[in-house]
Amino acid sequence: MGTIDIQHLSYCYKDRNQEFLALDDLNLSIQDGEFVCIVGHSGCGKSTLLRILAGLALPTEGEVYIDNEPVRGPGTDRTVVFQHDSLFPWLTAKGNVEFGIRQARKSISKKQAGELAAAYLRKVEMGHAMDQYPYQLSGGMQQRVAIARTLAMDSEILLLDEPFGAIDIKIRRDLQLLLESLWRSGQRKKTVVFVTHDIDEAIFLADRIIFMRPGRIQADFHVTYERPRNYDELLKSEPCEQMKNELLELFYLDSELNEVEDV
Amino acid sequence: MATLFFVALIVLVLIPGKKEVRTNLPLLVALILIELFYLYQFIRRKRRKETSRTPSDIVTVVWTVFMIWELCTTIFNIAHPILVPTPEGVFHVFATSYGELLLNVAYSMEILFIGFFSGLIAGVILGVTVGWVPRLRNFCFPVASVLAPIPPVVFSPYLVSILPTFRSASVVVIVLGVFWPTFLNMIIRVNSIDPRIMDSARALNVKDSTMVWKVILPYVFPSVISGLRVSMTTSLLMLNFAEMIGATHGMGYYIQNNNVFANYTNLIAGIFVEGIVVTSLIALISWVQRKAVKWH
Repeated sequence: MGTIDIQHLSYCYKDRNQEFLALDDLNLSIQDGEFVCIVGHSGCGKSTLLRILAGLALPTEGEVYIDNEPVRGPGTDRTVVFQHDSLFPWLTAKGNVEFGIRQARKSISKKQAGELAAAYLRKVEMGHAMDQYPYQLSGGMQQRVAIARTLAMDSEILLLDEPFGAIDIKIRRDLQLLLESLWRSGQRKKTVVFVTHDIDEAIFLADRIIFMRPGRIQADFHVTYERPRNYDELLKSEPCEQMKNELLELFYLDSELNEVEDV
Repeated sequence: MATLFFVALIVLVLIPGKKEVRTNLPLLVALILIELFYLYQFIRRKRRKETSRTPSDIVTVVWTVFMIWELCTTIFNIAHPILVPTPEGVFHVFATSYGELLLNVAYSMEILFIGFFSGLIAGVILGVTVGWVPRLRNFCFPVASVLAPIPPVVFSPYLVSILPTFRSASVVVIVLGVFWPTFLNMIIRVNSIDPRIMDSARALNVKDSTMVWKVILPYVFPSVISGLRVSMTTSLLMLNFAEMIGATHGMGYYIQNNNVFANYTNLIAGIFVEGIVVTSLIALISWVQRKAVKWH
């Protein structure tokens, strides 16, 4: 199971002499197996929301329930891919995946973990680089390994915080296709929460797009296009253009709001 | 060019000078060994198609120094006859009293290693623990910052008085010298651990002992190794200093003792040995670093 239920969630960053309300009474329910993209300006609280889902930060107020259990910290029912440096630099690609597997399933033997790690690395087309250290891999390759680790851990929920944000456009496209096909072809569809500011990416990947404006949810779109989706066809189609325009409008509206607030 | 210098030097050694020397055989052997080592390095680099002139430059300088030394002493006898020993004499010491030299080296190394490793291990363990627990850190860091800069050598007279043997006092001084920098370095290192690495580890549900063994220690390991070089040099410095003051064995004692008896030939030989020992230790550390930290 992998349902997420967020109720009256607030989060406040406290500095020595100032407070900043990053999330303000936010409510959201995510169903099992749903692929949700969270988009919004930087600073709108989307990464904070993800950190709270991961259990890396605890809510100031409100509660997050996963399968009706309140979240009290990190757990192996959720795995996270960050934008940068999710991997341990002192372990090889294979070592990193193995480490994840052994964290998720303590009882697994070292040999089995190694075989499983190799299998997942081949799935993300990294079979040739198993014994390389992260510093020897490009950013895109590192993210492939991080995705392999996440999938190998076989958690109910995947949390991704702009995983392809620092990767050039061509490789980013490959990784999006890879992630989508791995997610779609899994035995059971996992719940995915994917933070991004790339609207095309969100429309291509998501079942549902949440647009956030600082601290709260502004809009909730359902993306019902059939899968497998074709990137180019999809983004040129009429209804998709419309959704994209709506999202862009929200982006611009929001930046105007920001400017007004700044004055 | 370098080999030309070598031949010239050998000729200089072989022709009899103004000053009588007992035997030039040990010196010749040593010079040939150095030349062979140089040729080995030269050929190895050539095979790897490196066009580095460094080995040739270094060996040329070495030969020049030897030639000046040889010319000033054996050949023309213009340097002070007692204060500046002949190269033949110095290398003769290696051939005749290597037993005594090695014994003193072994004696020093024993103290060095005991002190060095206890200081290092204590520094790493306590440093990581203190760095990891905020309450301990907040209390220990200011205290340690005051205690650490006191040069450990100032404790030595007192330590000699309260401890049973001079050896144990030397060990404690070295322990102190290695412990403080390692301890402080570990606290800072653990404290400034990359938050992204911590986030990944926590997101993987890593806790307690796994966190320490599989995340914190690998993370601080490279800085422990690179700190070794400095702490090793400091320890040697303190050890030699201590041995020169009050020991009855050891490298520092050997040098100081020969100084007392104005036996400058043996003194220079002692300095040579010291140089070889230090270089080997540093080379050993670099080797460990290369083998153990593959991920940088």
